[in-house]
Amino acid sequence: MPLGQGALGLSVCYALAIGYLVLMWLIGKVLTRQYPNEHKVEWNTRTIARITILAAVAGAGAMIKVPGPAATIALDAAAGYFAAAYFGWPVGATVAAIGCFIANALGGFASWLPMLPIYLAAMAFTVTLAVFVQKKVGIVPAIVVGTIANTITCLGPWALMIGPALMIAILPSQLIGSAVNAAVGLTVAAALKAAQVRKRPDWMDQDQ
Amino acid sequence: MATEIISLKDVSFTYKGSKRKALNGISMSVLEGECVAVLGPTGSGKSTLACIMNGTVPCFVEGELAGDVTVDGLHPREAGTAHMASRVGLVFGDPDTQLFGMTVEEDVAFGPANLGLSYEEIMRRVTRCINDMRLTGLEKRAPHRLSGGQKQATAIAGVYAMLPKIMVLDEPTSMLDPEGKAKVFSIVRALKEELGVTVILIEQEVDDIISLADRVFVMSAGSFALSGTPAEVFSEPEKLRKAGVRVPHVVEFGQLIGASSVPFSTEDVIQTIETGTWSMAAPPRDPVAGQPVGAVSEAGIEPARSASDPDPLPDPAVGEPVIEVKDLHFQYPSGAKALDGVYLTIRRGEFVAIVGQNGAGKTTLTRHLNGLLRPTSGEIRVLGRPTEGVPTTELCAHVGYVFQNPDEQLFCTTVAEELGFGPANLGVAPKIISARVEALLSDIGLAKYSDVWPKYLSKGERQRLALAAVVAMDPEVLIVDEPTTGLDWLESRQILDYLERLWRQQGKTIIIITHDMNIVSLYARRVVVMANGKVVGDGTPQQVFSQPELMAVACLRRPAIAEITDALWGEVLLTPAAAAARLYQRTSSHAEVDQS
Amino acid sequence: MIVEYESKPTFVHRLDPRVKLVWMVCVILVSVAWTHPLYLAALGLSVVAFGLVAKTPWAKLKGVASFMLVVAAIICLIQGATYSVNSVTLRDPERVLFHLVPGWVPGVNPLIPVRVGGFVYGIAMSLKIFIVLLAVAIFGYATSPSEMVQVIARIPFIPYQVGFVLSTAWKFVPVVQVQMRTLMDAHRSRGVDFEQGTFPQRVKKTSAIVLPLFANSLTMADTMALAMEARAFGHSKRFTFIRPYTMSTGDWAVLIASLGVAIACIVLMVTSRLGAI
Repeated sequence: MPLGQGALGLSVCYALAIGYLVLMWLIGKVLTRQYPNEHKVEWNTRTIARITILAAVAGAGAMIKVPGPAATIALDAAAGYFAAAYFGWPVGATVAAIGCFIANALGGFASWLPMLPIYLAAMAFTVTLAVFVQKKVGIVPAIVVGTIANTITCLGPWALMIGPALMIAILPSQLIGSAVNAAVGLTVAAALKAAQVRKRPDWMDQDQ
Repeated sequence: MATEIISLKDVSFTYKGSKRKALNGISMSVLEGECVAVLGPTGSGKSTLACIMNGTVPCFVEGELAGDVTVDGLHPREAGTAHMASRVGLVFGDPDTQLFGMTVEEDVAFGPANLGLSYEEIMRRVTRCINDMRLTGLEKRAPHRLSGGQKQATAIAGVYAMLPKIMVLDEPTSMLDPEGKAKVFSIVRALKEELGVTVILIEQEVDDIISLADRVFVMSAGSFALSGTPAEVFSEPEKLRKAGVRVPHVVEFGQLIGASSVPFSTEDVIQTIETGTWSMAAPPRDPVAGQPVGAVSEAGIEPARSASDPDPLPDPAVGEPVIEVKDLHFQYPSGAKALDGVYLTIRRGEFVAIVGQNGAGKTTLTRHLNGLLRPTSGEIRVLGRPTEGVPTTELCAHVGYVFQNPDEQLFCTTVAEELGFGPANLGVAPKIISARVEALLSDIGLAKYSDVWPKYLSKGERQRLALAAVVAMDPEVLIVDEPTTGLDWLESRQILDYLERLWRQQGKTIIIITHDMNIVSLYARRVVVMANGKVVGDGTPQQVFSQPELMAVACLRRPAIAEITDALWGEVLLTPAAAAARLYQRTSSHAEVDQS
Repeated sequence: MIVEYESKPTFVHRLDPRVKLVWMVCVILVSVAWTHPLYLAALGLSVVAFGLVAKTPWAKLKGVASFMLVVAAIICLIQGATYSVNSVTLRDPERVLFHLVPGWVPGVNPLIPVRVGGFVYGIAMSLKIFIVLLAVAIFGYATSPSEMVQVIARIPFIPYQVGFVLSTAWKFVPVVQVQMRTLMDAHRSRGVDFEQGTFPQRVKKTSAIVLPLFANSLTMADTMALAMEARAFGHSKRFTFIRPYTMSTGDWAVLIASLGVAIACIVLMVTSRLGAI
């Protein structure tokens, strides 16, 4: 029995969103403790500048459209995955949330505004979970887990509120979209990291 | 007696993770109210020097700093960047990454607000700075709706609003068109003359600096190769050249004709010639290659103006039309009209420069030639065939397009992959591709970098790589959009010399878009002038430079030497060497007349 | 934004941005609380009236509105087919309105009934979405981005860096977009056809734009950080460029009306189910 789109449904969903954030924080703590080099973030000007630019990339990415089998797919979430894998989960989660906000604002808050905070929490949680899996298992499982987590966390609240029927209808496009974003974000981060390490011979000195 | 405001003593700096010293034992003393220019090629340590002044190096960008830095009585390293910000203002080249407000007013308020000043004080400063930087009337304008020059003026106002005693400007005009450059230089002049600010100006535009700076420092590989008053520094053109700095026309000409004092402006030169305070014993020798300059041809161009070419060849023959544009109109979806009836024919083997102000339609026109944009009305033919319905992916095999910013067209993670990317998409056989890549790598001097990530190359190298990556597809026509923006003179020459080789040896048709009239006068054989979406002028560089009113319409400035020769003899010559040769010719023929 | 900000001399534009924000939040809260379509329609009309005062260019909403209409239709059908409510006002929510697979098709029995309760509930839900969309559109159209920054800067407990990141990122979207377009054009000029190939191939081609885009944005972030440092970013804990706003009579009127009506509606909804379906 769906909870409805009123106060009750929304309250439950907001509680769920807080749950996402708590989970994210727990997973993040483990990451920070075990991989301090990659996941401990200093909140200085440079970090803020990076978050700003990557959030803008997420907003602009919402306008890249890849014509896909179920629907056109926008690359709005890729920046969050990228940031999490490249700069650590705190930056990634922030970029994912702010990027999601900007992408939605640019799209005219296409899905219902009261749901937006839940999406922001869901995105932050998803990218953190994905980099956790990537660290622990590998990049392919991370993409799979990221896709599933993203789909469940974004569609789950709707299913609670208005029942699963509509959700099943948009499930395929949501799945493909999530998978493409996770795959692009994580692989590009890996490729950039690899390029940075390998493609710079010792005899080249840093130029400024 | 003015007090010393900046003092560097034996300063060295090495970036973290690097072995090379970015600065190597630099000493420098600047007095309050002085305007000091720093010249030098990219990578010589100029930006590092700028960042040391406000402490971002080494507080923010890590590395090893040795020596003693004192700025306005403080040691930036101990004082910290935020504290230094209200004493030293630092302005960078790219206006986009240094504007933070939603409006001009808010952007100017950003710095003072970070200092925690009261609203009233902030507004007082904002009003004053907007007024001082000639931005009045634009207070509520969003920064992205400003022209390049206005953006940079806003950036300067934003830094100046913190009321620093010292302003350090790091190549503030590198991304601007001539109009924007002029605006920024007028502001720098105001800072110096009206507001009494100490200015450290890092620049590539030697022509403007020469009359603005009290003192000039020339950097090369982390240390000062030359320093002194402009008169002292520019009287040593050989050392300037060696350091990779372009020698201004007026100075070069003065040297060629043996002027008694170094001229700084076209007026100086004209006066020198009129008063006869010069002496030239023999026809001038080309100062770069050391070759005697041949007899000036009828058109006034010496053959192969590229001085690095030891054995000049005649220009390749011009053939059938490769590009025909008829009555081309183009309107952006936003409704802005960008092209308004363009007619243009370009023949095989031409070397064309398209010039004009930003927004004149240069880029819009050339993007039509390989199908990136499609005409609203009108017709385009490439190699005799209409382009309608032919996709860019097919046209690019015939018309290569090199974009302005190399970073927006390098996609691969190694240099070799980058070169092979285009031909592979065109379906060229792998064997041929690897042969081409091999040849191109040595052509552009990047052979040892073949496995390096392009990001790690210098800007000049990346620009050459971007160009070669298009050449790899072997197109008949090459369009190069502002190939020298943000490059130093040496890097610019390398790019253009490579283009000239392609033109001469492989018979490519070359079209460049540029603002740099020095480049035009040295390389282009034909100049197309655009303004307001139309072609307003077309001819050889001499013909175009002989029409001052045409240059004014397009907001362009003639090279100094064209200005001088036009004023003196009513004739446009393109290089100081050609002008000196003509002067010699005229005086010796006068002498002959006198004798007979 | 759905409708980009335009500076116009209307009453709504002149309102204090904080008041406009309160108005928008009140509208959203009431729209969440109510579930009866008639009540929601009335709320929607009040929003439209507010929009009329602001001289909202409705034509610019056409695209979003027609898309939302399709969504609304789907919601109504799906709700009608799957969901019935324990209604306090509807007499017979279980009554079948029509069948999704109609009976007049020969040889097929009528299938999937659409019931009144669910259908009406679907209408209410669609109205909620429309109301929020309109309220946000009017707010965005009548409040300049700088005013929004000013509002964010006043919210207590939120570090001003959040406002900075939001507004600066917003401002950078067009810059990144231009870069993205150039990257795509550069790909085309090197023989890449984005429209061709299977879906995985197209994803691969697109990710080839993303790599240099991210790489460039990192460089851009580093230069931006230098420029921020040079402007003493983070030196003061507070951001002090806060324009003094004075509340006019109109501001007070709208503020009190919005808050009063919203509180009354929500209290009545909770206590006596006024506005429930």
